[in-house]
Amino acid sequence: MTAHTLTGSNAALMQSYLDNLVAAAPPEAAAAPGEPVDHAAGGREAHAATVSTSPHRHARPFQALLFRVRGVQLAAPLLRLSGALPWTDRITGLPEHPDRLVGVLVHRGRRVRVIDTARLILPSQNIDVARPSRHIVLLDRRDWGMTCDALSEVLDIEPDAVKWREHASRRPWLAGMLRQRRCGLIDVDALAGMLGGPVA
Amino acid sequence: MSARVWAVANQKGGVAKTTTAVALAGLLAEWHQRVLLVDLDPHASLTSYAGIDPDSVQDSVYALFDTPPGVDLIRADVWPGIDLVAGAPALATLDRRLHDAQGLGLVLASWLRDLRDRYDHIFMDCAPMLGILMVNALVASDHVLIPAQTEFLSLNGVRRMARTIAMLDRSRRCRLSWLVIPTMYDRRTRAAPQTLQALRDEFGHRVWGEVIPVDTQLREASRAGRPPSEFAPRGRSVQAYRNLLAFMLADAQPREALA
Repeated sequence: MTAHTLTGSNAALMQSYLDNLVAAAPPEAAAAPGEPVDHAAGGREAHAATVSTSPHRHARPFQALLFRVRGVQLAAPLLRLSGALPWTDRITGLPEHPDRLVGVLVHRGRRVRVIDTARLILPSQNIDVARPSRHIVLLDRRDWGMTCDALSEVLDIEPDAVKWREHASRRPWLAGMLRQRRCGLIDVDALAGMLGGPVA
Repeated sequence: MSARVWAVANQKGGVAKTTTAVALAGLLAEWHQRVLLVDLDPHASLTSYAGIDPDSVQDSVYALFDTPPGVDLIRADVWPGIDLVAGAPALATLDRRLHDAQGLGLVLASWLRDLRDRYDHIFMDCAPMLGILMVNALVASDHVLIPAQTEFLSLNGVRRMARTIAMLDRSRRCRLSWLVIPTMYDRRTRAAPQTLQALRDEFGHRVWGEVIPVDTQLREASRAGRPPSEFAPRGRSVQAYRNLLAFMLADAQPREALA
């Protein structure tokens, strides 16, 4: 990116101009810009009220992220996720934790508990332990992350394209099935409920 | 609830900044998200798009720099679910009148802080020039969207934006996330794929992996004064903006502190 390097005097003038414009932060603003604020979680609450991820039928079209967990394709409503991270070695294991908890990752100042998605929601015979996780999908409020093998695509989903789960079952995390893709749609609220409270 | 704040900016004109802001706002409104659009351009294309004559506007963004806070600048529901703070030609006089007085770059951020609880998303449509208004937008935003027409002259605009953001990052001691959006992509031309490749070679992962195609329906939508998603919901450009929005919401991260 050398092509857009300014000459020394121009750069100094511009930097001085910008420094001056942003110099006098009000006291209440001083800490805000650099902090990892969780805008994503709060900004979605209104949407959650209208596009529910409950087992009941969605009233309107929505978008879903498709991803693979130990080779099994799953989907989750996009607006209930706050992002995806590549796999990292910065996950710290916890003593005496259940198998389904991989560990804790500090991401942008927050402690994210990373769960082994396969051990949480797949039948044990479906777990291909040889397949490594390559991504972490962050849930709405970023306290939890789900491991996955690959991020596939984002789909526009019509409510009629889902076979909605009508009754409670042994899989409370399952909102329904995407008919054409034949994959499970995760109920993020129910999944969060299975995981428990925020990170201690 | 706390809004995500997006600046739509490029130091080159005619790259689809206003169209991008309205298209994304329209899609979010369809999802029942509450959206505020802020027109920071003296040309006030966004204000005109909403059917308001900029020359008749009294309560524009200008008032933030001229009167004590508390003036209600927000026009509710210029489109369903979308509010607007209008722009006006008088904005062109701000830099000359205020020069670079200390702290003037923080005015908009301070004002928007009180509005974040009222909206899910706030988009600021910037003028294609570096000045007090653009600095205010960059300081107030969580993310910057840089629409870039896929023709060679647009490369310089993106370079200038990258340089400005880097300098502002140094001033603010934090790192602002930004994304280049290739727009008006015409695959029938030789220049479009070449420029797209040049953008990707130079800016790497900061360039969105898809493109907004050239689409006359976008022009028609602005002429009709309607968001593209309402005017041509199944249009190819609207589908592209839908994909962009999905990427933005899943991938964009707030600004982070520099070590």
